[in-house]
Amino acid sequence: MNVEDSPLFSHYSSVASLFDEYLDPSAEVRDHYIMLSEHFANLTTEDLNRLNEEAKIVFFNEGVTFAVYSDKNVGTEKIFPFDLMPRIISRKEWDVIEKGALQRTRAINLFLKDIYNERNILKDGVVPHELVFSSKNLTRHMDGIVPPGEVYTHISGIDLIRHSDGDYYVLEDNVRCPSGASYVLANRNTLKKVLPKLFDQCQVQLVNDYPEQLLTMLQTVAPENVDDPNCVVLTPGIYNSAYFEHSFLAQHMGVDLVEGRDLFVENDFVYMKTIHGPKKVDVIYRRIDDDFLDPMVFRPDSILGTPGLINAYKAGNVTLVNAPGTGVADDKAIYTYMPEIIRYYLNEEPILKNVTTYRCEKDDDFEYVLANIDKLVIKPVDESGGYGIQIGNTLSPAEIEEVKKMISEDRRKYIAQPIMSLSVHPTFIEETGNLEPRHIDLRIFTLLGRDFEHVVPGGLTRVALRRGNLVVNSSQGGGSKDSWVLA
Amino acid sequence: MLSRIANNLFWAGRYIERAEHTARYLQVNYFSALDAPISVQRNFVLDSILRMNGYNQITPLEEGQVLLTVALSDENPNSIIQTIRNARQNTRGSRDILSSELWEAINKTYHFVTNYNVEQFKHTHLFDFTQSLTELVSSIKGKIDSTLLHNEAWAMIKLGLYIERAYQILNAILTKLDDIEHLRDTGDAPSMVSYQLATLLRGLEAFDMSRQHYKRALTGTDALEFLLFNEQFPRSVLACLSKIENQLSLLNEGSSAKQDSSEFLAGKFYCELKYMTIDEVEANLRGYLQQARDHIFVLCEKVDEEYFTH
Amino acid sequence: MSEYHVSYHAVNSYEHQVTGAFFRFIIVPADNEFQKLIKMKLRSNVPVTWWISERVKDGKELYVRANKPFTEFILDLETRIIINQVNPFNRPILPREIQWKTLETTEWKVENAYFLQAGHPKDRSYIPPEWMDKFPAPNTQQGMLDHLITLREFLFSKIKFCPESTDVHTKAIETYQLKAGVCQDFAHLYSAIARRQGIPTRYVCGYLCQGKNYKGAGQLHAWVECHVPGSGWIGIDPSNNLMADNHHIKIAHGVDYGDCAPIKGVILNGGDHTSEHTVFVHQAQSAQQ
Repeated sequence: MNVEDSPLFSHYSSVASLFDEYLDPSAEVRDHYIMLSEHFANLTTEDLNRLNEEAKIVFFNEGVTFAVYSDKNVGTEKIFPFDLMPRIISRKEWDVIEKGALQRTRAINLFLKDIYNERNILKDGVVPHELVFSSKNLTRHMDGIVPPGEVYTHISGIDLIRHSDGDYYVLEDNVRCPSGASYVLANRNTLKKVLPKLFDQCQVQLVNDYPEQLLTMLQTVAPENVDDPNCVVLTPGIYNSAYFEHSFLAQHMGVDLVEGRDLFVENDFVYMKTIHGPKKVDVIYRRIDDDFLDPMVFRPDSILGTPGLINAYKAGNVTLVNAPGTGVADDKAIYTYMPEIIRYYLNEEPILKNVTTYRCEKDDDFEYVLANIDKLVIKPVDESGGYGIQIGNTLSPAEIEEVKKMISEDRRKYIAQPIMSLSVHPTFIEETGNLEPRHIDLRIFTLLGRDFEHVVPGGLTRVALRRGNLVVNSSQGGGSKDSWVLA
Repeated sequence: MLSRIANNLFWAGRYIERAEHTARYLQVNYFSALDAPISVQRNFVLDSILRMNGYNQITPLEEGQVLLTVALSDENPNSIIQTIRNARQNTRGSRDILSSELWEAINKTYHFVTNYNVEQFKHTHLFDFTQSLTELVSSIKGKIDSTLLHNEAWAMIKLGLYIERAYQILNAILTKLDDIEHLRDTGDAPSMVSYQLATLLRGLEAFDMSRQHYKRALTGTDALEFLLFNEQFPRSVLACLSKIENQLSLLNEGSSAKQDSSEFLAGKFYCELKYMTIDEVEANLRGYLQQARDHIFVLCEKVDEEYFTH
Repeated sequence: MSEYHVSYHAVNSYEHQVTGAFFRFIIVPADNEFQKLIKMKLRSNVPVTWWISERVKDGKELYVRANKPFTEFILDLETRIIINQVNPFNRPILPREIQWKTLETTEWKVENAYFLQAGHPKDRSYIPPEWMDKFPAPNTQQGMLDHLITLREFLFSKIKFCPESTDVHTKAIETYQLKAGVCQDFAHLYSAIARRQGIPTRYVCGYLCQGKNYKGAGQLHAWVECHVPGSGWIGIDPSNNLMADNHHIKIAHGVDYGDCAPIKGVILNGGDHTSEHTVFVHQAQSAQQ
């Protein structure tokens, strides 16, 4: 089938240098998109506009919002922009992604256990110990702690992109309570209501059992000898921008949504205050950063936390999900070593690719970097938030010379990576009323418990709604798509 | 249920009821002053409205300021806009246990109040504002009863609502007693007293039913008796106490009330009131009403201690 | 073997009434191979709920929640401890070349990483690398213990023990510039130097037996422990220019004072406050066994 058949696609053309998820290089619709393509071929711009409005109403009525706060605690609730056209992942590709995500999560978990106990990987020199011990997200309070089921990173989010070569690459790992799972469910819920027939035809793998899977996972990691664990979700409160997700997950798991002030610690046990008196808490799915968990141990000025919580955790009387100190594993510098980490613990070759990384401290890498700066992104290993990043193809010859000098002066401080391009996907653009190519990524959610593993089929596809924009974050005008894995 | 959530719902109930009483008192007193027997009473009525709202103002305010203070002021914690804002804030964190119908009713009221045109309100729309607000609140109350499970969450909202109502009734009576005393001091005619009693009853939507009950022009004693002791009338203190005791019993899951528990105190207060006569009350009227208000305070402290602190 | 009685007395006064309080005290003597806690008694002027939380390594934390409002909180802790004779010179000692060589190995650096970090300029136990030539450098011709003593004597000669000259926030950099400080300042400066020289060093808080005219007696005391390959952690008291011995009763160790602050609290209301504590340590009379 050809794209010209549909009026909606009349303005759609892929860019040769980018991977198009929908069209193959000869502008033919890819096999796993044919059903969707036929369905959209029967729609007009007016239809799409109407469906788009309907989708917004579904989101608004169900309160799928994030809050933006101004003065006087009066918040404006905004809906997370949602694109009607689902992203489809073929079964074959998904099998690889799923295996790769599990492999990576297992390796990260073993890495965390090692770092907080024997530290063999450091003693063997596979990962430089200076790198680990200088990480801001390493915490001494986890030293010697082995949580129930030996699980540290219960919930992980792996950000994948597809490069112009057609392969998936891991852009970053998120193992500090990643958010977004509720949007996966909300997107699915909305799309089913707006495009029921298409959904029915395509036989998509289900995602709506996520709350059950999450609760099952939480129950498997309860402290020893707790038969019917009391699990709760810990939120910073209604002013947090992700409050919707916290309350959504608590409600759908059927557990209490608590704040730090609802909890107290006595004799190293954690209790929540209820109208019928204290009730013991066994597992806390906390959506509060490490720093705010316990003012006795971390930031003393934190009013969100519960004093004594960390000692209750150390005593093994309550499980924190994820464990404190997991952030050391998603540190940018540690990322570089992820292939070695996978080989070291699992004795397997990595399934998902890391973006090729040149370590300037190594002589041959250093020479390559100097010769090819215009094709590379230069990143300092110890900075975060995009600080200090130089993109080679945007630099003037004079600037290139400066960067070379900067690297030569402190080779350990810098790594370099090829400039990655994100794949594009047809996306409904309200202003033009057309489907146009926009950059997308994919966040995969994995759950790890005691003898329990689960990967959410599909995950969250984020889309950069502005033309040419590579940034998919919602704060930068990004939206999301439902992601379908075909059964 | 978490103590914090219970506390939020209890106060949501109180704020919703408070907003309604403020709006009605404002409406009834303001408009009755327009055709009051003595025309100089305008400032006096404005002062009464402020006192009822618990707003102590030393320098006299002009009319527009008074109306704004009571209805739409961000500075006055008891203004209608603040109580509605608080009610919404208290329920916002508990949307998972409330019905979306109830939330929408509260949200609608919130948007109505916060978007109301201030100039229109001050000059021409006082009636529209207060009337719409009482109707919106009445719709919220309808949703509370008809769309929630009658479980602990519901019982908490209702408990707050009835406690606030009992308190507001006593408050209204005390404010009117002050008004009447003031008029006596200035040597006004007894006609003024019966006029004040009528506004008191109207402010509590009790005028028609009290007429029907006594089948004659009401005396002051009748009005007091009706508002304190008539258990058939939902805006009497006795009826509120009966409801309060019911809600507490539901929260206690039917187990018998422990001595000095909130349920025990509510029951005891109810019985005292039930077998009290109006003659006994009138012997020391002000003292008795103040004592009753103190009883409500103590009861609130008990509720706080039993349900919200552990 | 010596038996000690330790009394700790703290008075915290608040400007306004405190309506809720949760304290963590690090004042209870540790139980380890050198010392045994045999008795403990706690008293307070306000009714409290309290419990002891074992830290993962070597040390106890005392948690206290006040159950009534107060404006003054008084806590008394009485403990009895038995201390075995400690003689650092009796420990096994490796040949000095092996001692110094061990410091270079990855395994040693990884095992001791937390107590080797030079830290951040804002940390209490940080000194700039370019200052290192001001201090006695490690000399591989000397045993490590001797080097540590040289360092101790050097600091004792340069820095004056001077109460009130500093406070709990004073950093090693400032102590060196002031040439004065109290026990925790000596400990911070000593740790900063030893760590930069590759010797794992931890900050120790504890009690010191009075009566011997020691500096830091009558208060909570601070000293350090250095990890010498083959010999273990050796206690060194820089402010008294001594090895830690059976007059030193250890409470806990950490990277710096921040890990060992004797009292930390989450207080509701209360406003400004003052906190005072006094310590009394005395040796029990020997008696027939």
